[in-house]
Amino acid sequence: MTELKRILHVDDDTDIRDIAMLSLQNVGSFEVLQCASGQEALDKAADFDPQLFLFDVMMPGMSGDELWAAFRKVPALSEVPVIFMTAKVERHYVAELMDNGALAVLEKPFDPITLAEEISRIWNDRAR
Amino acid sequence: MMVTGMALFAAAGLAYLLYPGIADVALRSGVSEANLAMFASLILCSACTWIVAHNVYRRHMLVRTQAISARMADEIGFRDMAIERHCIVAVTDPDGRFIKVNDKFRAAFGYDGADVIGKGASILYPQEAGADGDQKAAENAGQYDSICRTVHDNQPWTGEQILRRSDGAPIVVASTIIPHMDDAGRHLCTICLLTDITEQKLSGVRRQLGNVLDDLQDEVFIFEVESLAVTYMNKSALARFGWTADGVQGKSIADTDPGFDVALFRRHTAPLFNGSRDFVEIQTRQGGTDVEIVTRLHRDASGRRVFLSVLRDITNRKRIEKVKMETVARVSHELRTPLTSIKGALGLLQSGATGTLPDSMSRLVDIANRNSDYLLMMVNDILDLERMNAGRMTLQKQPENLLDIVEETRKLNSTFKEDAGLTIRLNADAARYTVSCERGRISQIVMNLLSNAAKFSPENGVIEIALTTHGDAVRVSVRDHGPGIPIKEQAKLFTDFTQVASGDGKRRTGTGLGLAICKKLVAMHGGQIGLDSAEGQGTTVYFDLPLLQCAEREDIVPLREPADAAPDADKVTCVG
Repeated sequence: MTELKRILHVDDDTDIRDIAMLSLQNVGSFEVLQCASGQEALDKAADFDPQLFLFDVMMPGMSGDELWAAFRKVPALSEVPVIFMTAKVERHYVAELMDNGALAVLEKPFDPITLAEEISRIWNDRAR
Repeated sequence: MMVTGMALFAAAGLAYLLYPGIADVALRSGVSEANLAMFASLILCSACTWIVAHNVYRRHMLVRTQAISARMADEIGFRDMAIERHCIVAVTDPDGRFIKVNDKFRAAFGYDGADVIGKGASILYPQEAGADGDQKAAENAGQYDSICRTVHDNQPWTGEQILRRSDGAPIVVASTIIPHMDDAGRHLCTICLLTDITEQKLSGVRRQLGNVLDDLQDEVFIFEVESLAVTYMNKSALARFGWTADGVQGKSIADTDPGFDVALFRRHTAPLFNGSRDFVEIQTRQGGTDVEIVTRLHRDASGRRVFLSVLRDITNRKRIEKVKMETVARVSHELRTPLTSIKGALGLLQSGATGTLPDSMSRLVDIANRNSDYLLMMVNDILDLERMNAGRMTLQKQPENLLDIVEETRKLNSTFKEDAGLTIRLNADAARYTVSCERGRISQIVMNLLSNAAKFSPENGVIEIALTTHGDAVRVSVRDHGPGIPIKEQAKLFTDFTQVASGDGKRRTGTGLGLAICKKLVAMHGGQIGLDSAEGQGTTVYFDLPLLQCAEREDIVPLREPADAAPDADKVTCVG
């Protein structure tokens, strides 16, 4: 089982990026690349070579699910799994993301103490 | 004429008595005997004629007088009869007390004659709210006073009145009230002639209602229970199908929709017949529009039971609901985003991930963290309630062991134990209660009940959770030992945005949505929620869920010892 190390996190909210960075780096010891938009992520992802995408859903310009669709067309990154984080908690909406193949949909507000642990658990479950 | 006859008769009699003398004088005076005889005969004939004529006249007069008398008697009888039959008649003394009433009066007002004699006419007047008796009520009635004044002034009063029967039902009458005075102007009595015009008035109202019904924008259908034959459709309903009022005859309600399923309709309306519902409703699409159809049983003019369906176009309402739901969802999302940052930052500070905080700072962070939890709960509550009210919340039910869910929720609460020093005890009369439910929602209900119990519990208080079987249901009850809830406040407890004062008069913080949401969630699980509470004796809120299976019921044993002995009894703090 490959150990999860590199996560590409995309969220347009600066504060949430900061919280997530503290949580994933300080608590979870992951290597994290953060981007404020889908386009920035598309530009920087290849060099970072992420093992997991962690995307906000509702972002201006390109939504999280659109960004994931775009990455699926990038040969080197088309197999990278995604976890969405969203404040849009409508059940049908969550179900739609899961049906499209997301590993998980985490609800905002997330718990910064357990976020890293939760992501690890999801990663490990997937590997099994 | 009579005098003339009598004079002739007297002359003839006198002539007869004096005839020998007169004849002697006449003969001696040279009147011939033949002339004298002729004169005497003439007088006698005149007398006889008069006597006959007089007798005939007298007989005629007698017959005529008798005829007039008879006719007068008939007229009087007829009038009395007409009044008796047509009118409600009552006679009152000068003080307004009944002296005499007719049968019509008794029938119209529902009084026996004996009941009403001696009572004041004010008993016929509607009582006013708060009046301290019939007489008082009637005295307060402006109309009664006005009538009394008019009658005492020796003037008749005429007008329409709404009076009341002995059973309190209203009766509309046209009244003529006439005072009867003696020659000296003393008020002897008052004669009241009333005509019951209630039916007339009602038929007028019915006509008016019929017109209103016809012009109603909602579509109205009346159809027979057995055959479903349509007996009435208002203009809007006719317009939808392009039918005419005459063309409705022979149509069935099934003709209004090609997809009408009679069996389905019978199932839909079954609750109307077993008395469990006063009306049934369904939302559907018809002719490209969203409609809501409300059906109830109704008795027509002949007393037959018929279906009365009202179809309302709810396209606009649906659109507004959708916009409202989208707005609430959007606001919820917008609030969640900053809350994510606030809670995240506070959580990291609190965890020590960014370094150890001094005690004073740590307490402040705790306060901020607890209140951001509370804010998040409010956002979630509002979103949940909106979803439920819009009928957009669906449950993903599956068989679950209710005991596991309750136990898990209790443990979640126990993480706050150090704050409020409360103890939660759990008792159950079986090891497993299988119910069909959505785990998260049941946990939400239990969490809410625990949160309320914690809010109302005294310091170091005990909260008791119990799971018990009640026939085909399992009951989860949460009991606190707080001040209790006054009875008048209890009814409001499960309504939206309601916060009630407890027995100690204090209002606790909260959105006032928690129990309203619980009630809806329990109902969505096919259960019901309720409470037992008395001031000073604490409150028990419980909910019952249909039991799929109660395993090991044959060896029912308490799973937990009473909390005094329970080593794992936990303490919780208020979280909502």
